[in-house]
Amino acid sequence: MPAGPTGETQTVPHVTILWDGRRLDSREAVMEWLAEVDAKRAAEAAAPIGA
Amino acid sequence: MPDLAGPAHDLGRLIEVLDRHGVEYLMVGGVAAIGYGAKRPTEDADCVVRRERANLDRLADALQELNARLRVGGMTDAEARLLPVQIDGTALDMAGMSTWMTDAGPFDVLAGLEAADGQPSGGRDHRLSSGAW
Repeated sequence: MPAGPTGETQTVPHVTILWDGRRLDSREAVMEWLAEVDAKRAAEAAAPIGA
Repeated sequence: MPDLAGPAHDLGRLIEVLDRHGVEYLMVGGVAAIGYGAKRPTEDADCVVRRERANLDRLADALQELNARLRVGGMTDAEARLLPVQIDGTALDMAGMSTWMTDAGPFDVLAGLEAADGQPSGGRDHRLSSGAW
């Protein structure tokens, strides 16, 4: 584990990683992903049952 | 440096909630090693879940019961709680690996690992079972 500039131990931040490799490592990235999730929910709701 | 810490581990509660909701999962990583008797520290609980919609819906229910919120780099747990994240099967299906803070501690979910032949592990004969080990 690398040490930080003051000598303290730094941990590797765990973040959500999407299938395409994007990392949700900021509020902006999360909001962009949530918009995509909403779009998929809408598409699922509009799809015919059994499609 | 923001305080990124959340609740401490409560592995017993985490497993109890996953089991009660009927989630098909396998605990992996450090927690699984401890289950096999290893003496090592671990920062979070990692699990693999079957990437099948009904299972992801059950997982979403379990995460909601645990008041799960995303762990986002650079954001405190308090800030992450304010994100408008709706946890459901759709959201979980769109995240290959999702990292959560729950009332039972940090929890990482890996969905649908692919085997060497490219087949999704959830569709193969080696089934993922309910229960940790």
